[in-house]
Amino acid sequence: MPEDDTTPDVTPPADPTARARAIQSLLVEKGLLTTDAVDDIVSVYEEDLGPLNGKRVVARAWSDPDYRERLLDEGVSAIAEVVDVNDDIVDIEVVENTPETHNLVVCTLCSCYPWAVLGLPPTWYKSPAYRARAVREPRTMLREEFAVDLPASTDVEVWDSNSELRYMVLPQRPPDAEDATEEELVERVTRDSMIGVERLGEP
Amino acid sequence: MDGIHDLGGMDGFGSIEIAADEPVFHEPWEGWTYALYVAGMGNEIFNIDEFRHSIERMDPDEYLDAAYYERWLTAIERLFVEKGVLDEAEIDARMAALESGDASVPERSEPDLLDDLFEGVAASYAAWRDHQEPSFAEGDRVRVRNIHPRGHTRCPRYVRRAEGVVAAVRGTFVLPDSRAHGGDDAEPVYNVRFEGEELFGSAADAGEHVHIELWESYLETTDDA
Repeated sequence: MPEDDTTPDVTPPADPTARARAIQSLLVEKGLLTTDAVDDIVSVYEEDLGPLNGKRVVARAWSDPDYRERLLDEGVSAIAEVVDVNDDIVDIEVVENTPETHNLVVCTLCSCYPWAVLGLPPTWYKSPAYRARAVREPRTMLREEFAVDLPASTDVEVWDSNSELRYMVLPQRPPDAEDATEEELVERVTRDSMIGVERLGEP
Repeated sequence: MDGIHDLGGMDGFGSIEIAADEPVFHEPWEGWTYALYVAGMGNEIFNIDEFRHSIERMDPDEYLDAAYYERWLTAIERLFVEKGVLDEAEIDARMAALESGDASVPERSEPDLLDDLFEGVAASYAAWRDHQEPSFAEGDRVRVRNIHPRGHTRCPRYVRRAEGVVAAVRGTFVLPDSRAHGGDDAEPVYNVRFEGEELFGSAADAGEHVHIELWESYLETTDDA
């Protein structure tokens, strides 16, 4: 739809601190926000949501084969068995790395990310460089930018998250973690391995 | 719209800058901006598709120059103004008053507000709609239509006119092209898998594939179907 003449000409703020504070002040005055709510929202994203949720899901999948099956079949409802997620908001599909397949998650159009399990995305995930390149030359990008050198025999499946269905990678269990407990395994999972820019298993 | 945000497959952005151990919010205003987004979505003043489209409507130069949360703040301000909640003069005046000490952020308590906001955010995101019978099935070969809507769409340029295979039928979702502009049309959505070479020719390596969700109206049957 074409824009009409009433579209305001809003430009990026020269002083974002002052701009954000002014808008916040007006919204509080209009009954749409409180300063307590602002503090609570910041604290939820800084403290409560983060990759630890995803790490716990992966460690459970590495420890319990039945759970792993459920996780790959059902996604978010299996995630909800392990961590607190609101499955009214987003759906999450879990894609599994194997020796033959490596999965990589991107959002080329904006910055969609499975924040319920990984928290808010790192800056590089939101950068034009990553968004542009991940779909076009994933194998080269992984090698040059993330030091992940996939053998030619490993296929790459890139998941462009453009809908409210989000993707998380189930990495391979590290080969030297055979005897680890589920608690110990949580420590072995990394955020980057659940995005697909790090590979934990062989090769 | 064929905007600057539609970055998939572009060259020239250089190396990916990766910061180790970065904080969730680098400066307080980034967290406040996130809270303004929760206020807009949570009070159902705008929905997720209107928000994305507001970012996309930035001037292309400014989009690339702006830091991530500067894009958010720009998009949020535009929506509050367009929806008639705030006006630009009021924001400018409040900035000046805060700067000179003639105003402060008011204190107001409303203990239930946070839960109400998060419920509203859920409503502003919620994409599932009543079932519609899908026209395509898993395994069908499909082609992405050569569409160039002026408004919001989640059909990126790099898949248009390409052929792929339906890898999964996802169910019925609201159509972003509609919800970004006041509608609530819904369509079946498919996960379509493309060979890298189909999308990027010889620039793609062997064994590379891209999956993306595509709404039914983005797709057509192939000539050999």
